[in-house]
Amino acid sequence: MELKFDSLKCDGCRACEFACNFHHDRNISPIGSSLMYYRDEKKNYYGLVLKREKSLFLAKPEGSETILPGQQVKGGGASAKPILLRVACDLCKEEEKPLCVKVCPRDVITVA
Amino acid sequence: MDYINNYNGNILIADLESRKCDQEELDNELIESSLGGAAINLELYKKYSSREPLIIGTGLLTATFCPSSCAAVITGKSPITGKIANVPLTWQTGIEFKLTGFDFLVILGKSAKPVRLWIHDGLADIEDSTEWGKDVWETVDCLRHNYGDDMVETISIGPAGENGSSFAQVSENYWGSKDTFGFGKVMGEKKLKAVALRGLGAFEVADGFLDECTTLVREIVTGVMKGKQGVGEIGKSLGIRGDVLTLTQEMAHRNNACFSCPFPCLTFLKYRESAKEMRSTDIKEPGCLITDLSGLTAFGFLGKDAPQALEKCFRFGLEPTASAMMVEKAGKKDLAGAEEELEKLTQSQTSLKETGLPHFNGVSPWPIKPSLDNALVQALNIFSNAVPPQVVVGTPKDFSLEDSPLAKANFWVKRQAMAYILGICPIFILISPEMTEERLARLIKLTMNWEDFSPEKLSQTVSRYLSEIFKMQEGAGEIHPSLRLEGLGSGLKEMRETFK
Repeated sequence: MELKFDSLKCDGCRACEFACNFHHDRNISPIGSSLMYYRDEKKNYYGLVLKREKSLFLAKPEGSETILPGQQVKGGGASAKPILLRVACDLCKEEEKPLCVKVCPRDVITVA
Repeated sequence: MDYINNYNGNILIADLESRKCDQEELDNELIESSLGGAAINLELYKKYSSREPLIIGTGLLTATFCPSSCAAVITGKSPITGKIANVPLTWQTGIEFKLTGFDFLVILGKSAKPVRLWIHDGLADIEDSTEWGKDVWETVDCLRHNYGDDMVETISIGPAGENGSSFAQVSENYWGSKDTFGFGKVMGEKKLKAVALRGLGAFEVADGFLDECTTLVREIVTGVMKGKQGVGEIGKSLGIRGDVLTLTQEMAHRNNACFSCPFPCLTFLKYRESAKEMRSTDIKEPGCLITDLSGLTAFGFLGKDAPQALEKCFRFGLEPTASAMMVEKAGKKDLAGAEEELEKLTQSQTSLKETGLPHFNGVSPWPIKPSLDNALVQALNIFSNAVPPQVVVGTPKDFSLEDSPLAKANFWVKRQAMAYILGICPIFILISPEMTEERLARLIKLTMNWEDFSPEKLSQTVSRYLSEIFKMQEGAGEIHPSLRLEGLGSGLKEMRETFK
């Protein structure tokens, strides 16, 4: 079971990022989230990065990509750097379903 | 202060004259009486009125899971109307500010030389501005490069603000703002080039708050706005010119939503590469985010070049609707001519009032068909006139509104006040009938643990705020003859009576 992203449906509202943090830290913040919105603002290029146990998953507008340890992350820009220090997604194990899935108003994220 | 949900409990006082930053405690009693946003801004404005304050405040619900809780508010004396006015900061600016560890910012006095204000991690510094002289886009790039983070949010001015132009506005990142009251000129007079924000702090909300908000979001996305998104949907309901609507479809790239908003109304238009291009290419500046539909529509006479003229306004830090009226009046019919005229406007000390063009006490009107209800709300000049002056996407019927201009105008002003106090996007609150006073009061009661909080209490707080600000606006209201619709004068009087 893992999170799946329909990237082009995403409009960058960041509800998922804050819900993920709420799962980990029970407060409002983006800092402890396993999921992070990144952007190249002038190009309107944006997506989500997910920290998994042994990889990073990039939900990019042109398609997804998995980054393994030692590989270079491209396209995230400086805004994507702090994700490497975050805790990995645990699919919100105590919850009925992952909070990012629950809060997304556009059904971008599913579990499969 | 005692522990309280939803706020950090801190007010930042930035004195530009002494170049010192100080911190005050956000008083719990003030939160209980005024809730937040524009209402607390007004209290701070009164407290510091002798120091020409410009206040930026977050709402009680800003940066929470409440739908569209993206907003902060700038409050100050408008150099255009001469009265107190409010401008919302949307997208990510409001949340970034609250997550810096401060809830309110009071900017006092004037600096002797150009400065910027850098707020992050509970700290604030007034620094020399090396960006003075640059346009807004260059300024944002410089600030992000300087602080090493693409997620820094900026409130800045361009050459128009630096030169004290009557058409200046503040800009949120690259894309202008809803500043129709000349706060760009105020920042320029203060020699404040930019406020840069990075928020990686944290604050609490009550248990159960997320679930309550998620339920509300589900109702919203299956309600009036179901299947709709983008700026074009707002344009359709306002009846804006058809050729501009077509542009918003033909050049549309992806829509963006403000923080936690179920309705992505910010459409990015691409005109330097295909709108279908989803990759990051070598084209560094492929288009423009349409944050100002009124401005885009006002440039409609330039046809397919309208978005590029809007981009130029954003770069210069010019208010687009008034600027477009000036460009049209100058007889410019192509982009090159428009750009030349816009550059002149960055130096202009002439106001709309002095040009003889239509205005509401100096503020440009929406380029839509005038009606008594939309004229009533535009003539108030309390809340930003860049926000649509009526219910959008849905219809007044969706909000169970009486079909009378006064009822619609009273509804609009109360809805706006609520949004500006609570930190909700003032456009979204005109889209979503599901965001009722009952639902909002329930969210407040839950997260603040206020047992006796009720919709009536919310309504009273909003009405009290409106009553006070209406009193402070007395004497304002010069309206261009072309906009003086029958019933406008008496309608405004009645509105003031309603909220007394």
